[in-house]
Amino acid sequence: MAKVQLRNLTKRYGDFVAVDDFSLDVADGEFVALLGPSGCGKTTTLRMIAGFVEASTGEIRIGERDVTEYPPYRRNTGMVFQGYALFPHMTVFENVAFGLRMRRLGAAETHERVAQALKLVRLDGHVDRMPRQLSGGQQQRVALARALVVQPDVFLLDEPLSNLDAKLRQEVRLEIRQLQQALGLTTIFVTHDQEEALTMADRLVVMDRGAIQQVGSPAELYDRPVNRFVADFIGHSNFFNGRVCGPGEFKMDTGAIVRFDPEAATPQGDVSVAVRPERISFGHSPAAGTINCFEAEIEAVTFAGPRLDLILRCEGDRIIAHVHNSDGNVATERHHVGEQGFAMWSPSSTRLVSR
Amino acid sequence: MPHISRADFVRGAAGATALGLTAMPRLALAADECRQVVVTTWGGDYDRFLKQFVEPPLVAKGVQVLPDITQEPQRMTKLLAERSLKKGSLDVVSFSDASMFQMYEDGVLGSLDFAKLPNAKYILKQFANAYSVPHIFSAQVIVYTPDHIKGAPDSYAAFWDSKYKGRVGIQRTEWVNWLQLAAQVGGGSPSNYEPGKKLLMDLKKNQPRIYPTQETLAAGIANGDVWLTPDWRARAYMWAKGGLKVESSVPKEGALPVVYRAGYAKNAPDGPCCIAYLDAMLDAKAQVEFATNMGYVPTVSNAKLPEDLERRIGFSEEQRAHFYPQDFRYIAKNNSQWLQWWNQEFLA
Amino acid sequence: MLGPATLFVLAFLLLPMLVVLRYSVNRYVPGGLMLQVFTLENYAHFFQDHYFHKVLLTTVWVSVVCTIVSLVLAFPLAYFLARTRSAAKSLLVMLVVFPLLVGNVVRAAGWMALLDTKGVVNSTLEALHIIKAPLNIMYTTGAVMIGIISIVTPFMVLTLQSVLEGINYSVEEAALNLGASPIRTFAKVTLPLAMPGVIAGTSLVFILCMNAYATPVLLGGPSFQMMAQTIYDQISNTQNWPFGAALAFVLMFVTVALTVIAQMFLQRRYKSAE
Ligand SMILES: Nc1ncnc2c1ncn2[C@@H]1O[C@H](COP(=O)(O)OP(=O)(O)OP(=O)(O)O)[C@@H](O)[C@H]1O
Ligand SMILES: [Mg+2]
Repeated sequence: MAKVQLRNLTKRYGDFVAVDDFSLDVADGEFVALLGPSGCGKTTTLRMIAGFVEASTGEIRIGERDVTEYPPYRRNTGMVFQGYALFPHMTVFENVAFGLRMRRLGAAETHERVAQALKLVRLDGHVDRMPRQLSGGQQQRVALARALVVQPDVFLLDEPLSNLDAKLRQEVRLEIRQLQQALGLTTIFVTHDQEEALTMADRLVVMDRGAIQQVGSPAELYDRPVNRFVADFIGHSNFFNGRVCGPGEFKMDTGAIVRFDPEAATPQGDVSVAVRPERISFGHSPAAGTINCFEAEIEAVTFAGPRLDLILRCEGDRIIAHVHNSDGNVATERHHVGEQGFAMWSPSSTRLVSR
Repeated sequence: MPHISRADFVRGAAGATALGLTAMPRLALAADECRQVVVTTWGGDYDRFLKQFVEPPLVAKGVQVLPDITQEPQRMTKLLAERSLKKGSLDVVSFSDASMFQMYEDGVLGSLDFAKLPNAKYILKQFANAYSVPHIFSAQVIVYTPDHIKGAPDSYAAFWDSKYKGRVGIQRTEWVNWLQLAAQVGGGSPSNYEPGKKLLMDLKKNQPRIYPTQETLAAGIANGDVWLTPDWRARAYMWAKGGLKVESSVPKEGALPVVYRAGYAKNAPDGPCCIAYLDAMLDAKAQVEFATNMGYVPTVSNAKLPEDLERRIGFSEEQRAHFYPQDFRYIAKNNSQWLQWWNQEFLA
Repeated sequence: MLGPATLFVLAFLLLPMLVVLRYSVNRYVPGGLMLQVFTLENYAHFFQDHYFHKVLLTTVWVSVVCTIVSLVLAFPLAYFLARTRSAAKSLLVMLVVFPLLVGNVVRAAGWMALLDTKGVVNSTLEALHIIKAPLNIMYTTGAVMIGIISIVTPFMVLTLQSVLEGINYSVEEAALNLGASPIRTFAKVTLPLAMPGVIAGTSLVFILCMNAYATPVLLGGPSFQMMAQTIYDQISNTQNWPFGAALAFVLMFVTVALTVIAQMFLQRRYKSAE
């Protein structure tokens, strides 16, 4: 395995910029997820690393090699495709052995390594099956084994779970993570499913319209989003527009003042205030010592299992508050539409993000 | 007038298997009344000129003419296939000389009462027979390019003249005509073309150019590859009309005539109509039109061509008397054998 | 139960064939009608006469060469058409099909204008002083092959294209990703997966070549004969229906036999994917 360095990668299709000045260092053995909405350039980035898409500008290094000009078959990457792309005319064994045969390994070693790889993905009983005789999950594991058996420098996965049903997805997710950690695989994983990214990756790269928005650990991205896009894409956030009017003070467009932690980093330019729904509480009277406390009225109540979602009208905006369903009473009976009260949150839950 | 294409071949094969399925129901008519006539003939110009010059008087009388356009082999097959029917689907049938004779031998033609054809008395005696009327004729002449050949060649022997090495054009499908003219040159007779074979093998030394079709041969003449070739005088006329610089001369050995004929099927649904149609074909005005437009000479004595046209397509009485006779029975018997010889010996 | 389509096929395909089969055992009477008998003499004639063996052999080898060349020419084109996302794709497909819209005779005239001693090719080469005397391209076996290939290649392209369209491109990328060069990717992945198209295309084209008529007649040399032309001569020019019919059956038998053998060979060579 090896580290991967991407320097100012850009891909243009005519005037359209699919990937815009993308720079990232992936450490040896690190698991990085590329996350973003559809069409943001995740696949394009991954395919530039694999060599299927030629970078318009920029540089790609895998280990100590500058592979920017290399054709795909000389990059030694291991890719798992969204539709698996198994060779339909070859058995499971032949599929997994393909990469080794291309590397002209001896028959004995090929057999041994294929058996090992199939064992790793728990498919050792199926060597002679054709791909069409396997379930989706099994095909997925053949694709993993096929990519891993050649000992690639970097493991590339493009939405490998999107064809699986929800339950299987959970399982395979865990398996991939375990494999990755056990083998110390440098892994770049593309997904548009934030839960997948948050639970699997060491580090997340959030992309929008071809450009990196923020890079960080799951917790960093969740608790300290740098902009409104990240705050909203990772989890949900309520936003209030306005401007900073003093240290730790933000004046909303309605004139009301929201207080935030003056120690926290303040972004440049136009800013908004972002507050996570689970940090907002709703009560009939201001709780003692609450600093941010605004009149609010319940517009809708939704039951969501472990919690209640309250849709509030507050400072002229519609915001969401999550209330925990912890006391076991029939939760919806505690709150009703039209109920008047206060929405409250602490300054440390108030984040400034650029717009 | 063979012009082969794949489509024709397919149509021919299909026609042969149709076995007269095209016969259509008709109304019984009074014996002397002519309402509808099916004319089976060649497509293209010939059919067009029939419509233009022969049929109008009939159509004016309310006769409906239904053309049945086929190639000769399939026309023969159709006629033979319908032979056992009491009433066939064809009335008037057109054939070249040899095929008409074969149909006569096969007994599928009705016999003609020439007394009922007012124009029959004008038929040139030379072309008269009992089972058909001659419609148009021409004869094989030496077609040459005056740009390359000074003075008209007067004998088929010109093809063997080493002066014209590499300049003689041969159409691959014309083995019968070549054997015939070689027999004329080399001591054969109308019932013995065999001496022609040796001469034709000699002709190979003169490196004749061989073309698959008339059109390609014409292209060879046009680009100067070919200076002389035997062909119908009518074709030389049409080529000249089309801008090709060619002239033609009648060989002293005697030109080989071709007569396009019409008769009627023995089991023709409409006898009176056939008579009327055949008579219309002999009409002097229609004959002159065919001559002007196709280059074939009238077969009736009362059709007078303009002098210039007569000079270009016609044959003097003396030349006509000297036409080389054909033994169709002999030709039909040997055709298959000749084709084999032509392919395996001459063209090899 | 026989559906209407089956009946249609029976009536319009099988029946004429049966008629021809019947003809092939009739006896030819020069200058007369064929005799309705049962004789194998027409087949015996074919088997005894070396000339017809030569014609059949010519037909087979010209067909094999034309099929292979058209496969080699068509594959890249079909591949490009299957993979391109260009807006001009349907236009390109039209261009491929275009030669089929021109009649055989007109097309042959076109080849003549190109290949004749005074045609475009020779004039150009002479003008460029590449050759001194005109090359004899017209009326050669080469001209026939060029002519046939130009007719059958569109069929090959379209057949291959439809199969190539169905191959997931990511399979080829997977091969490249696993270290296979483009050539090995083609040999190990693309070609085996395209095998159904290759088999269908070569069969179709081989059958077309074996039955070629107008092109060999118009572009071939005087001694050049392929089966269709020989059959036509027998039937049309000497009225020898029995022998023509026998030759037609020999041609059909050889065509079917060779097609089946080639298919089995290719199928065994490349286990084709579902
Ligand atoms: N070959 C191409 N030509 C033109 N535009 C392209 C091409 N390939 C991709 N694009 C565009 O580049 C952008 C990024 O595409 P990409 O496939 O990388 O998105 P993605 O983030 O993987 O999206 P998804 O989550 O839907 O898979 C898209 O807008 C796409 O339309
Ligand atoms: Mg994608």
